[in-house]
Amino acid sequence: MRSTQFKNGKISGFTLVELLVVIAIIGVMVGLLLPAVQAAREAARRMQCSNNLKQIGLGLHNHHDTFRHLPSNIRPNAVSTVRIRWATFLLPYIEQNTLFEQVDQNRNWSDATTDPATPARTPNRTLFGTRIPAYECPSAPNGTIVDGAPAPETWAPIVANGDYAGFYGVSPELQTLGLVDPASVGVANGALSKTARLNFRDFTDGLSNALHLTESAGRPHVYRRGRLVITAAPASNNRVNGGGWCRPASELNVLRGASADGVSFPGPAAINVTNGEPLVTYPHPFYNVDGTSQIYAFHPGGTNALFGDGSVRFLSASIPIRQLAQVVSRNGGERNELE
Amino acid sequence: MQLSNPLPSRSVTFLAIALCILTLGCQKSEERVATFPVSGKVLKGGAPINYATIVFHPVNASDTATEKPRGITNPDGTFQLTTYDGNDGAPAGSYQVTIQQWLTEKPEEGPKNRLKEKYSDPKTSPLTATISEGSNDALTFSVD
Repeated sequence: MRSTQFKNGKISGFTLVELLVVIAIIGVMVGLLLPAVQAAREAARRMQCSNNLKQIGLGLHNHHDTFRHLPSNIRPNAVSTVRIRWATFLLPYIEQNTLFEQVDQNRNWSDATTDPATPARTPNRTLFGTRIPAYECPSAPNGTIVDGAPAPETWAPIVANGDYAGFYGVSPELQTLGLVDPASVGVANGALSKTARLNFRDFTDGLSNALHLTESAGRPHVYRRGRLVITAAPASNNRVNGGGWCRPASELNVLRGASADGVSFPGPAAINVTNGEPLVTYPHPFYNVDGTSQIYAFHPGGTNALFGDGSVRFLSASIPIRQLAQVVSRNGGERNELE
Repeated sequence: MQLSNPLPSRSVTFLAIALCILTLGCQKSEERVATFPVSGKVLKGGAPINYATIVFHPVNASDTATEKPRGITNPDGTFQLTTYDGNDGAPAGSYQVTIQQWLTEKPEEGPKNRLKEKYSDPKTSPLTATISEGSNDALTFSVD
């Protein structure tokens, strides 16, 4: 039929059916490709996140080589109320030495004043509003300045966020619930400490069997299973206590877990269920002035984790809390059943 | 392009079988036991206590690693139990009950149990409870 049309030297164009078929094929191909493109973008972000953790891990080892101890959340000797997080002491080892040199280590991270002897200095609070790309997971929804000090003033967003945090220990509640090995339990057996300057000698389970840092993203807003449920706002304590990369309260505190829907604490679900317990009263009866965060990454299926030996692994959200507690504890002498 | 021919029944059967095989493993593997709402109160010397962790240990549990119903008291001493999702209650049955109160008074020390040790272990705890099908909302536990 078509050949007769060509015989007359006239091109009639496409029929409606041909057009529809072509459009349908294009539609199907776009439908197939679009999720693949999105997945590739997320995979790239996850790789960048794991690279951030790798850089932090190298920095931690370099810090240990220099000072013979890991950067710690211990209160500096100067003033008892001064609190400075490991992330601040790590700055010179991730190419942020200029920022580190401006920090006044005799003042708290939230201090808005400067030493009268050097009035030209920038107050710590302003310095900690600086975003550090290595401390942020690219998959996480980060604002410019999102976390603040819960006391003595009214909470307001003043400092920049960091998405990486570690554990002080494993909550003894989990032993009563029969969810972890008794050897894993301890409030000060994690890779981070607020009372001591840990060094590699303290990791008696072996550095490769100790979880050093993992993700807790989206703070101080409360996320549960991918949904934003509470937005942090001034004049309300309904938010996760934690988020700012300079705050020692941004640590994951003790491994506690949650119910499967992330509403009730403690519980058997520990990864990607919720990014923390909403702080209702401050100081909190259980957490006191420390953080209420939980492991939470915006990567589908799990979270990136840095181990003591500097390796970065992906922890699946389905790993039992018993196995997680085995790597959170650095000195329990228990088996590492992970992998 | 003729679509008027009905699909042969053989290929329909084949498609159905293929679909069944492809979706194998898609069902939820997690098995949940039916739970019933449980609430109550914890008193110490007659007064309600805040932030007491209450755990129900099944008496006839074949597997000790199963999720235990648990709850934490509010400032007025009231609690609700959670087994799988928040405040969903507990499966019916009889339980040994343990109560601990993990409070952090000094941040550098971390949480410590403020109640007597005998309430921490289901073997030594004098507290028991029976959960029946339906609503259980008048449980009161007293500790000294």
